[in-house]
Amino acid sequence: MQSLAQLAPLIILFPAIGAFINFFWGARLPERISALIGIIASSLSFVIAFLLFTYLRNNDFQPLVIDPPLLADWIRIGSADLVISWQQRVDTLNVTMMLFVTFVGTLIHIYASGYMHGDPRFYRFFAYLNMFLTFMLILITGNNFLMMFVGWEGVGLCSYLLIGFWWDKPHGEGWKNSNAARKAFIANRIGDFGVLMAVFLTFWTFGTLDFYKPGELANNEAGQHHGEEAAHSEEGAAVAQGGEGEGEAAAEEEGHSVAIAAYHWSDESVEDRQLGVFGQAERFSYENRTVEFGSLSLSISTVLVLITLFMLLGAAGKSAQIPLFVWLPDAMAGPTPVSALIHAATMVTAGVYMMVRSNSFLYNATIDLGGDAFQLTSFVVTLVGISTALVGGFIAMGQFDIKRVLAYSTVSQLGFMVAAVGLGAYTAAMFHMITHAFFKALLFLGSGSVIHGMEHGHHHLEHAHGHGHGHDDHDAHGDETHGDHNPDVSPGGPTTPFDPQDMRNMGGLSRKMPITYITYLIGTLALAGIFPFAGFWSKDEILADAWIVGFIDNELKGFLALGVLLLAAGFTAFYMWRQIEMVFHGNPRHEAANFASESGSAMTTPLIILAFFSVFIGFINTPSGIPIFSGLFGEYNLGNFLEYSIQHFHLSEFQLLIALGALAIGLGGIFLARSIYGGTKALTRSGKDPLQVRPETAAVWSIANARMYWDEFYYRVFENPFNRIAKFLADVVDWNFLHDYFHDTVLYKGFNGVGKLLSRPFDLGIIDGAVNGVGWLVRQASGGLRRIQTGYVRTYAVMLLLGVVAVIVIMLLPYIRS
Amino acid sequence: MEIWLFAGVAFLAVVAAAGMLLSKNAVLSALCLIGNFICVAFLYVMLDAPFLAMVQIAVYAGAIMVLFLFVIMLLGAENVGGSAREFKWITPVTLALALSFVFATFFAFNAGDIDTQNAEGDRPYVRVAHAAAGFPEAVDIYADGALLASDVDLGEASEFLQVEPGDYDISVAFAGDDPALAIPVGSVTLLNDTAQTVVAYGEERLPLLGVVQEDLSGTPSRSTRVTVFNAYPAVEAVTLVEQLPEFSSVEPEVYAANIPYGQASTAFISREREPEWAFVRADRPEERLFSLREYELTPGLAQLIILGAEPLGVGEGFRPISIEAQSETLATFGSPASVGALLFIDYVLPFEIVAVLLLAAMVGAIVLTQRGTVKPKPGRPLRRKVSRPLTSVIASQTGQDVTNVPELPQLREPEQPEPAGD
Amino acid sequence: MVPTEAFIILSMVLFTMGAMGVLLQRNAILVFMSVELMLNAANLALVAFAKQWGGVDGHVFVFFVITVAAAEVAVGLALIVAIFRSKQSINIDELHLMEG
Repeated sequence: MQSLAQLAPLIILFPAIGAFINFFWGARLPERISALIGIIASSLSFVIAFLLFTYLRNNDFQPLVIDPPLLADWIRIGSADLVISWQQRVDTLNVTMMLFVTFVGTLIHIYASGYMHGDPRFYRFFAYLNMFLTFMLILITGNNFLMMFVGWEGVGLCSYLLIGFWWDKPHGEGWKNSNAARKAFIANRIGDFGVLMAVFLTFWTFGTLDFYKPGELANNEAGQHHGEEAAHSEEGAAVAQGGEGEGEAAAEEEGHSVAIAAYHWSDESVEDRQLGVFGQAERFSYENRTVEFGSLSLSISTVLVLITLFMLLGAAGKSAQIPLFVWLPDAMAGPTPVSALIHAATMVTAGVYMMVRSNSFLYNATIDLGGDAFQLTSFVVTLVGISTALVGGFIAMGQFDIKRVLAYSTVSQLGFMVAAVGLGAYTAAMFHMITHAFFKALLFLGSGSVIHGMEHGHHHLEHAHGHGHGHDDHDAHGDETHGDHNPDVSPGGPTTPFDPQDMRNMGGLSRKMPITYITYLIGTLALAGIFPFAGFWSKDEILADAWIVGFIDNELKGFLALGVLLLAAGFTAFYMWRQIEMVFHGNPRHEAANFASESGSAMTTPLIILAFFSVFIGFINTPSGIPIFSGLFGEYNLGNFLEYSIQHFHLSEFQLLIALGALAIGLGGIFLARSIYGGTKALTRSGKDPLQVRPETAAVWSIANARMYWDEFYYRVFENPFNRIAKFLADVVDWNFLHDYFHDTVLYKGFNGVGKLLSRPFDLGIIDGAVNGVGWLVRQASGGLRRIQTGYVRTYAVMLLLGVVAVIVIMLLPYIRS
Repeated sequence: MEIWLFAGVAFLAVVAAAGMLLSKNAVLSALCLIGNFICVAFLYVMLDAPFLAMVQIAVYAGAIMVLFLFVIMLLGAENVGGSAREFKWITPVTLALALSFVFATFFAFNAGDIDTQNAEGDRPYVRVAHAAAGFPEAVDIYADGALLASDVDLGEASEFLQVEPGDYDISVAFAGDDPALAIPVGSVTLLNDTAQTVVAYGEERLPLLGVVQEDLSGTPSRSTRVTVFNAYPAVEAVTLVEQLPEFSSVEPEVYAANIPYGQASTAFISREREPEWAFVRADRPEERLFSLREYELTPGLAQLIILGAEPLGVGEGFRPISIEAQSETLATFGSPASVGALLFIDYVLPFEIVAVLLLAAMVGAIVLTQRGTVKPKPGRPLRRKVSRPLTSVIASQTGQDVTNVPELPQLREPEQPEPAGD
Repeated sequence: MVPTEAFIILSMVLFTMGAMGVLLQRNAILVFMSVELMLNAANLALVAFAKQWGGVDGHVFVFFVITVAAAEVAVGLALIVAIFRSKQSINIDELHLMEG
């Protein structure tokens, strides 16, 4: 089975080949073939990921480092002692990532084959998607920060390309799309700066960029407290007994294999250079070493604080956290599969992945606070995460664009994950990442299905209008829809008379699109954290961790996180149900909604599959002590799986109180939304949100609707001054000074002057004179000499004889003299 | 006598050359040139170059001049009309140049280090033969202390060696012995253009030296030059006669008569291949001393036959033996054989090159004289590239006159980006 | 025994006469014949020196000269014939197309 892991390079290669084919020959291929290539490439990657998973299961979850052929010396700078190999890591953490990335990716590829049907750049879309998968998998599988950074930048590029995929849409939409793409790219650049700085600091500190060296274990205690946790649980002693036995057996077995094949930083016989960055970080922190930066000497914990804060900046860029989250809502300008794949399920989790991977850094990034080591970065991360969760949820409540609501929801949920990372609940973060990937992909695809249906209806409508009338009679709610459709509140403005994404145009779609409705509902309940859907388990775990950190460890960040995240969970339930009400319930508010139809099977099949997983994926990490589920699905499967890759792993016990509280808050949010927006009350007659017209909520709602003026704030504070400086530089410095004065006056005149000087006296006089003089000389000389060339043989013969005599005379000269 | 012959022939040659130059008729000129060539060929004979003389007559006077005559007659170019342009200056200039050339050559001849003395000739050849009956062991023979021949048994002869001319003291030592212990036995004088065989002979312990002057010049075809040396101590003189059957009434032919002890006969030419010869006492011809049985002569070689003796035992006297030594003859100077040997050994590559040259000349002559039956190949019409002046090239590429500065384009006002929002 | 000098002087005289012929003759064929005379004069000198030095190499060289002369005559006369065909003349003073 060892050879199974050697397949790891293929997981990158398959999508790369798919992208390659579609890039170069896609234009000549029919749509079906293009889509098929993309889907096959993606699904083969999934198969590889699954094989790697089985490999890990069969090999005691021991991590493995694969050296793909031909790339051993990927980067080698001998003078700097820098050797970075193109190594791929197979461990439980990134196999988890691989599994859901490739699985969700495959489903989204299938979905896109229906969604993008008829697009002139169909093949290119699939090439981009495959390219994205390639880079995402490089990011995940890389065994060093540089490979991760390659993937990091690559997915950023793909994100940019895909957000601006419809850059050429008419009516200024293309302009918006490309602006959104640029916004995403630039926001990510800021984050990338942070990542780069973190990478540089890491290299300076540890002299390598490898996460772990081959054979090095991330966590040597993995699998040992498996049984303890179970034993702690009050219920299910029988299960615990079995678990303990298993755990010990596993531990023994594992201890055996550790002794033979693997080592850990805590083993003192291991030298520093045998350790990767994380092992070294642990050892350095354990020994409390200092790091020299030229004349500056910093303790390792301080350096780690710096590294992790830079890392947090990178994660904030990629995972859309405050303050860099503003690009994500705009990124919904891309096609919906892109939103689902990149901006909800996979790419945005890269920041969380990086931080989970760097848990050793985060754990040891402390400052001395009154004698206690205070985990500064973790605290900051928690703050960033919870504020993002709150802000995202708050803004989502005031949006009308169906995808924008989901986008802010994504921001909010990413905040949950980041907060979990900050709380040290790495498993919870990963768990929520996985569940979120499924249900958020489901919601996005569902919204895409809705948009697709709306567009279909709109097309039908235009078609019908184009051919005549009698349409209103056919539609029972025709007058209403016309009446509701107020041009003044139409979100697209006069240039876009119809916006298929605007929830104000929808309503009553549950009857038109039943499959979409059911699956969307499942996704909503999962996201809202309703028992027993996936989101309930993952969100609950984060909240439970927050509770433990707060009330048991007595840390401030735990209290903060618990309070804020509960509130954000309420927001989540509220805005999701608001969306359900607006989109699916009530009556159609636009003719297009009336004529919307269910999407094709290429789109609904992934929805169904994702809905299935949105229900059941939560059971992969069922906490102990849940009567039925923990017996049915096993306890802490994911946690026990991940602990082999995470040094500072811990599992938190199920907190019934918290779970019930969160469930109550979620249900409360739903009922509140139901009561406000339920039925036909989704919009007022004037096309306004019910909260907007109520005086007590109007102010708050308008802040949410205006997205808390983040963009305007950035525009005022950063963009506008930046633009002014740029304008100043362009107009005054560049144009007036450089062009007008420097170029035109100084350079041009100076050049002219020198040119004149050189051209007249020098060029004409000396150079030309010399050249012409040579010519004249040759001409004169040849004119004289040509007379010798008489053409008469006899004269030549005379010359010849003359020469002969001359040569003889010259030869005789010595004799004549003597 | 010879100088007068030369003077006459030279005069004829000059007269013929002058006739060629002065004759108005080209045919007559050609005939005069042939005369000149014949005179030169005669001079070649005088210079011991019979082969070249023959080639001169056959190729030059024969083939080449016939070609000239043929072309003259073919073209009817016996007389060439007046020149289109008179070069009045050319005659005096030519005469002046010719005179100065002659003068320069004379000067060079007199003042230069041209050695007009005859060459010293070929260095002497020498070989040794061991026929000393009183010294029957193998010997090393030294000339002035330098090894001349080593390990020569009784009855053997060494190969010819070329040495510097001069007087040499010959000494003999036992084979392989220290040269310092060699016994001086006499001296010989070796001259250029000679070939000698030094024969050690004698019944005493100290050998005597005899010198045979060999003639290595070429023999008449299919014949052998034979020289006989008498080194048989028992009789005063021997005679080489034809060996006839018993009781033959015919008087046997005598080849070399009355050769004294220690002397060589004069060389004689024999055309026989398997002669039946015998040595007889000179004073008693009926007493046969030694018969040359199954003896073979190779044509073209010089053969030395030494009648020697072999000790039968201590105090028991000698019995006669014959020692034969052959040598290649040398080709005569200037003969076709000598020229050919050089041509096909040392100069074979130039010879081949000249042969190719002749072939090329033959093809060239055919091509040149062939009437225009070969049509030129149809080629593409020559396309002429005309280069334009640089300014016009620039003007055509930029569409502007290079001397005028174009107007700078105005910068467009940057568009204000819309704030993204609903 | 005729001294070598005599042959050399004769050779020189003949050579000079040939050279004068080349310079003064207008008939192309006669020019050629004069060249042949010069070659012969040179040959004579070669043979004379060969005799003096007792080497046959001079003879071989003369042999080569005769051979090359034969080749030269063949091509030269062919040229003359070709020229005569186009110009109807072998007066070399009428052939001056290479005039500068």
